[in-house]
Amino acid sequence: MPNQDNTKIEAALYKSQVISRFLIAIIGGYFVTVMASSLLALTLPIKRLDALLYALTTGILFYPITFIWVFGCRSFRKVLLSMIGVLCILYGTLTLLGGKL
Amino acid sequence: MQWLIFLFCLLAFMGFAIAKPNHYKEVLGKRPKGNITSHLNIASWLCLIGSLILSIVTQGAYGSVQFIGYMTVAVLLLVAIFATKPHYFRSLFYLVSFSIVLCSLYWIII
Amino acid sequence: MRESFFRGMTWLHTWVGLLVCWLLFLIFFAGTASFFRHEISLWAQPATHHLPQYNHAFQQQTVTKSIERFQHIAPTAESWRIELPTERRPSLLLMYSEKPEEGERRGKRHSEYLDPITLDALPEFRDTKGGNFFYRLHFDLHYMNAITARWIVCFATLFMLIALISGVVIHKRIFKDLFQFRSKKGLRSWLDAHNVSSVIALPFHIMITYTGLVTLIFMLLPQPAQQRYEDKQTLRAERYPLLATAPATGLPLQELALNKALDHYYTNSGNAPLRRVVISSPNDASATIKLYANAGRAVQDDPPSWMYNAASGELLKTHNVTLSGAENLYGGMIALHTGRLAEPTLRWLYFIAGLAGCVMIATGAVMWAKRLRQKLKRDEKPGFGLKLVESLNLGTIMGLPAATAAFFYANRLLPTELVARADKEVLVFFIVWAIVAIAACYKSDRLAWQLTAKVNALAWAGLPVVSMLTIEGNLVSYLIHKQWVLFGFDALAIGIAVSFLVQARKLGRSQVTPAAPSRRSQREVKI
Repeated sequence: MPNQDNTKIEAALYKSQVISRFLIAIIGGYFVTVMASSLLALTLPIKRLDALLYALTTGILFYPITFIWVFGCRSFRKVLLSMIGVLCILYGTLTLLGGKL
Repeated sequence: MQWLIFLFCLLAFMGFAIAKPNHYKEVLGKRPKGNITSHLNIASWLCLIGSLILSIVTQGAYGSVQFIGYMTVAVLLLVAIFATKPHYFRSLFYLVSFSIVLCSLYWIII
Repeated sequence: MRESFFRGMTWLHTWVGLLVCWLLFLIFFAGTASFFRHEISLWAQPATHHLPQYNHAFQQQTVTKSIERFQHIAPTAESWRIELPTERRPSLLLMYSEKPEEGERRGKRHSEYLDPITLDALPEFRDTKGGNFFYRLHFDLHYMNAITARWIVCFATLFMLIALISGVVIHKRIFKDLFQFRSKKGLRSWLDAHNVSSVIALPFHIMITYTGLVTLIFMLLPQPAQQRYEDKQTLRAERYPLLATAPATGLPLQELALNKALDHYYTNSGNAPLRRVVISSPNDASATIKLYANAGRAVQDDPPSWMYNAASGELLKTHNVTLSGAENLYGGMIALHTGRLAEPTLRWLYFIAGLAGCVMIATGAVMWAKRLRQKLKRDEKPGFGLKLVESLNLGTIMGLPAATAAFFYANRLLPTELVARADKEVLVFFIVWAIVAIAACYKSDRLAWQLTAKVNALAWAGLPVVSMLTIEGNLVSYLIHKQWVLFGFDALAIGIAVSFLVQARKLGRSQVTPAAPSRRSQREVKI
């Protein structure tokens, strides 16, 4: 019976990975979008209202891109680590440039 | 003018449809020979782009929005024809060509 | 790697879609109806049926008369607002708000609909929401806080965007089999219907989803706005410069220089018709006159607006008369979403594309349940999840049209003197929807679908009849008097009835299950 146990464990692992991918995609994707578009709004060298509108209208794209990537990438560890990395980099740049969250 | 844009759009998608081997056979009763499909595709693209240009030139940004709507209706019509009465396709082709001539004449004269 | 990517996308498409499909169906349904918001409102308000098409040449006269009326009925109001008739709304709407009382943020508002030529009140005006109900339902839902609702709608829309993109990725074949719809092939047909309805209007689906997010973007992503703006007020002042009000002087206004302002406007705007006139603090010397142009077919949502000093008639500021690239992009996106620019042809195209969206969502949801049903072994009992999905499918897909029909019946049948009549119409909508949904929980098999289809067909077919019996005018008289909007409404109701009838007959006929699908189609169906 060890074989059956193994498949059960695998199934459970798969399920937990799917759920965590969802969480990473939904929450991580939102924060990536927020920070990336904030960065755009902060740094675009044009009138501030124009910069804001450009950032908002194009910033939405970051969300589906992140989402697709989280589910398209094979290695779960890679997804998790890169997500943390990207968030840290974005947050770092934003704070360095004097942005606020 | 509206009609002309729509008819060109429809004609283009008719071309795309007939360029697919299975639809070609359905309509004309034999398999396409040689590179007729690629010719059809090129002609259809030209038709489609012509329709888009026509709508933008005459109506600007509004025209391009309307053009997208026309594409939807054109494909919907063709899907309906292929799902129910594929042999009507030929008659539709004659009808569309005839109407295009009529509309162009109308446009040139008036 | 490639294989697993597609597996991931397939999985994503299925589950993201399933999670929000019923809510999305509601949003798409209400949104599609909202393209005809003013047309529905017109139908729902028989008092305005006989108003003739308004000629914009009368605008100056209408505005002058409206001001006279305001001076008579609301001399102390804080602001007067005139919504001039448009191609889609034949009546004149006058609104004014009183000065706020102690402790109130804004004063009480009053509004009245009038005949634009005589400025008489419209007789037998009924209290109804009409098309505005669907418009609000589209993003505010109902029976809940509007902001919460908008957040829910926003996330459903984000999921929709993801489902769309992953859908395009996995259904590579959709463009290849663009014109293919194989009927009477069981699951295969559902997949075809799903593909066809998504592909034919794919640009529309992507556009409407994306721009839908843009309409709520300031709520969804508040942070970018905080980067270079100190607070919301600064941003507001920069986005809507005409909203800034000069401090009151306490001196009375000698004379309203309306004609001078109007003349200046017509000369400098190339005689563009007006959409709205607002006069702020009309009895103070600091009063302003704001004129909003009717943007017509321009792909721009905020109309060009001009602000004048009410005492001297001098131009103070303009807004949106020339736009920067970013403003064009943002305004254009919102204009595309709301479709206010659309003239009848384009409006119908919008409507057809919206219907395609509804079909896309509905077929997707039905397909999920069918596929699971097919996998069940002969004597296996369906699980709770499958039953839930089947009930929700039936309750939403067939319940919403029925509820909508009920809403229109309520509009015609509820007595006009009823208190809070507009809310009761809405109540009828939700009661009928709840009835269908509860019935769907009890039974959601083929017979139930057939029954609800028949009920829907009957309800929609009866609508023009009931309308004919309760108000003056019917399908024939609309045709004779060229009241195209009303004619279109009744004709559409009959069209909807016919399509439900066709559905009921199809459900009755294809009782026998289709032959086992071939290997190839089975593989495709898995997608």
